[in-house]
Amino acid sequence: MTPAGRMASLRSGLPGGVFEPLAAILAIVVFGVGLVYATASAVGGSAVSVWAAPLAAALLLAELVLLLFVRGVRTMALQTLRQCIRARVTVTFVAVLVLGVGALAVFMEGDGTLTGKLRSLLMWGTALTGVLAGLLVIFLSCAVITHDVRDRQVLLTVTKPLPRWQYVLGRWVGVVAVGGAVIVVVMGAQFAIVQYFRMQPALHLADFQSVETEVFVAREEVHPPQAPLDERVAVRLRQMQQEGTYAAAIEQYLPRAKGNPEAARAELIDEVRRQEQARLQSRGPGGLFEWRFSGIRPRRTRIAAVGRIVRAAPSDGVYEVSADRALVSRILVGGPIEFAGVDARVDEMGQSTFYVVLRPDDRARRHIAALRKGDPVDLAVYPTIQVRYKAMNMSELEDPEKRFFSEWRIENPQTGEIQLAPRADTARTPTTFTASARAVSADGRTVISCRSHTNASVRIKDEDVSILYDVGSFEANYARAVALMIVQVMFLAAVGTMWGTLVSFPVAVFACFGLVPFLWWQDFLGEAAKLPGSESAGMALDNIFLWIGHWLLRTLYLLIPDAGASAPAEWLVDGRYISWVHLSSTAVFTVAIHTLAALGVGCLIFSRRQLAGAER
Amino acid sequence: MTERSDSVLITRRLTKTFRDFWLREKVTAVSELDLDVRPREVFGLLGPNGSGKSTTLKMVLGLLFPTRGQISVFGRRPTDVAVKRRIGFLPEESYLYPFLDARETLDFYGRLFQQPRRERMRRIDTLLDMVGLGRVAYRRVGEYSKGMQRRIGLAQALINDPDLLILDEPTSGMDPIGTRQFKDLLRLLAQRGKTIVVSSHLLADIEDVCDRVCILYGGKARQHGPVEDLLAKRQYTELTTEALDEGTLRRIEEVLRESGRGLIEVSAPRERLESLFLRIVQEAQSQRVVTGGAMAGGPVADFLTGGSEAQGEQLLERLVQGNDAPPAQTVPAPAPDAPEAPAAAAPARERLETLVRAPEPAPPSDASTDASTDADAHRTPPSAPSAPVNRDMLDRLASGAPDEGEGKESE
Repeated sequence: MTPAGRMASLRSGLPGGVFEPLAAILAIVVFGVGLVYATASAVGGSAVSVWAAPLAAALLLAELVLLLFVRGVRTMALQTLRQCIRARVTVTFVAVLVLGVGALAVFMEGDGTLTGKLRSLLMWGTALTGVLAGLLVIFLSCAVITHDVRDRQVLLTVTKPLPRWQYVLGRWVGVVAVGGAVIVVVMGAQFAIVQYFRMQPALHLADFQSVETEVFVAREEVHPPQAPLDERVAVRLRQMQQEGTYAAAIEQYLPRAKGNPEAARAELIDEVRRQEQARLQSRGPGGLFEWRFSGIRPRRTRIAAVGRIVRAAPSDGVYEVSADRALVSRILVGGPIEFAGVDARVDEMGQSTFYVVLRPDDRARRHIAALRKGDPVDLAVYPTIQVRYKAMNMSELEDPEKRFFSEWRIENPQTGEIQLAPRADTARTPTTFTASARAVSADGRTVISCRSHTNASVRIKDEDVSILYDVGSFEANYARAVALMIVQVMFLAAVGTMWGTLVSFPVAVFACFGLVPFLWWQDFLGEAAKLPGSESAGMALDNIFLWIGHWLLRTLYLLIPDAGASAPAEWLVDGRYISWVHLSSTAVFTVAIHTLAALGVGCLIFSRRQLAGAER
Repeated sequence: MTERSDSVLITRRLTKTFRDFWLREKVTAVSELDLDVRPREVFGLLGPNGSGKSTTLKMVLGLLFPTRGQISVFGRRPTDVAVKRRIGFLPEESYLYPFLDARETLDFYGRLFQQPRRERMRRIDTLLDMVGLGRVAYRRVGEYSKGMQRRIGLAQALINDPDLLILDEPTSGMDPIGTRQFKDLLRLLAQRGKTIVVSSHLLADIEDVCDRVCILYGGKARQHGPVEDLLAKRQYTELTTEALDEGTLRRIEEVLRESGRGLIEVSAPRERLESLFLRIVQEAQSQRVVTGGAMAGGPVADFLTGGSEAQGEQLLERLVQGNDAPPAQTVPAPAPDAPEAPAAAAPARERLETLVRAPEPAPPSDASTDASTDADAHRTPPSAPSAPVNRDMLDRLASGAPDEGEGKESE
């Protein structure tokens, strides 16, 4: 029996209304589980099992699938789908999106490198798709119910045996389907475009390698642990007290703290902490930085490929070899490579070929000596990791190009293997370089040190240095990014649907747009509405509006998800791994809690709403 | 109005007040309305614009919530989904999705009734044929004329073969053919055991199809009862024969004078404009004149006639051809070449006495109770021609003018 047949038989074997109570019960369960997960995450933080979010998300997915089995919901969803697809607004949005992504592909150049172009494309294409799909979904979700009420088609629909909650949910499912389809189609087109450009020649070897190791990747990022500051701060404060400067320092902060001594003390402690942090993270000329990393889990399997001998000088043990992109992009000049079963070194490389130098002992091996031009050869390289850092010069650099000269040392603390990387990178700009994953111990540790060869004092913050390593494929990461976008669209559709059950189209759209800044810029707005000295007990009367705004904002933030934190564009551009846990957690917060709550309110309003007024 | 346990629709002290934004009372659309609609009857809600007909129906359908009073439909609350499975509703305008074609429209509403696909498709085909839109089934409803939209509206109201059909201004926008067919269909559905509630201010619609009516004005029931009782002028007798010569007329006048009655009016009957129009269109159709609009309706959907499609078809055919059953209080005019009826052999005086004998008077009715008796007993045969003079009375009632004591006062 075919799957469709099995499904039909399953459906026919169950009483017609069995899915409705099931869907309702599961919705309550999902909402409850979501709340428990959110509370546990807020209280327990990382102590919450990594399986909690995927399990909750699986329940959520089951609920969404179950909804489609409720006939009323399915019928309304199909109707909405048909309605939206035939709406001019949808056609217009899709046309604008397709033209926009096409125009980006043609005109976007980035910094002139292929990496820059691809990053710009991914950044703007994904952002444009997210924004326009969000706008479309807001328009559609606000329109489907309000226009039904305005044009009175709802009079016919709700007089049929269709519970009103099914009407509302069906409308929501339909709009999500349209928004989701638009996202999938446009992001699919964008994927095809970036894959096309991936095959185009890069500006130079480094450009080619960064395309493969920084763009078309899914990398996890690990930062070093923050240096402990509390003890140093306490020592400084004791020192100030002994020197008798403490009271004077507090005095200085009193005006800023509106006369509150406790707040002034807090300000002073913050300042001392900042100073100590800067002292810890800064080095003068010739100074040495060191960071100890742990929890790095790079892929251990070597990247193997069959290359081809382009030129051979067996007597010198030098071979020019060509290989596929995946391997070439992971080769480090001066780094190790396995060549026909023996360890060798890469001496120099172009975009498609590289030179391998063998040790004298290996040159005479029979199978190697027999290699000639055009022969295939087995190659293997270790996976790589990337070190990212940003150096801030604290005084004027003498280099006219404002470069920071340094020597980096990456050491495997278990094997003692050391890799050296002399660098000359532009200061105040994030920079990434590649090292072999052999620098990471089996238990995921590595030690990175950096000696400054610059005349100026330089600061590298702990949060500005990190190790990135491959954990997944770009394709799967891209798919998860699309899923994140659909999750966001689900919430927007729920908000639009909720407002649509209550007010007219323009008011609903206005209400949705009013919510958008709070969705996307929670950090920024939260900072703007932060209470001065909120830790302090007192509150001046002139801050009353700020206080009201602060608490209104905090209440609002309980009701809406943080869309900015889960926006996938930056993740894709950085080639950062969107984990299943992150995706699940976002889905649980956004859909299981906020979306379900909005839909619940919408269903409640609509079930109590009179759908016909006095005669016109 | 007495309550019957088998009533399909009951309202008690039903009141609806619309309020403004500040919750101040704006208008009382329906006030203390008691209705009792019985199974298998065609019930008419009659009244001028703004009298509360549509508001009443919307409360019955659960679209509006009563301010006071109760509604029971099939013994349940109107918002009950189980109730809605048994209702078909045609609103005052069609309110269809303009981007769907006729088939998609009916498919959508059929799906809402959770009909299996095969059954749904079969019903869609037969309904489209029935309303005469089979040929334009793939045109978007938004491109239809108003009358065509009404036809699709009617089809969607019938897709679930409803037990209770609620029709709000059903014939507005329909051409005379559609109107006629529509009325015929209503009669047929009523015969098939459906209960029908019709709201209209078109008096002819109500008069032609309803068993009982309730006349509303200002949100209150002014009068209700069987149409026959409300309209009957029992002090007069109407006689229709072949054209009579002067001598015969004088003899009749003598006979009447001898029996103490006077002749009020003698005139040649006129054909109704509806009949004339239908005949002309029928002739055009028989000549296959091309039209881009709706065709004449096809046979009544078999699922609506309980499977006896042939019966429904024959009935419609008979109705459209004018071979109706003889009206209750008129004498059929024999065809010129028809053999003389046996009664014609009797002496003229006897014949006249037989013919002018008044019908049995209606049983005296209690003013405090509903004037109607069993709905079937008072049902007018399909397409029964009605006395034009009676329309005046309905007009008077509908406009709120004082009645002449006919019918019953509402409670």
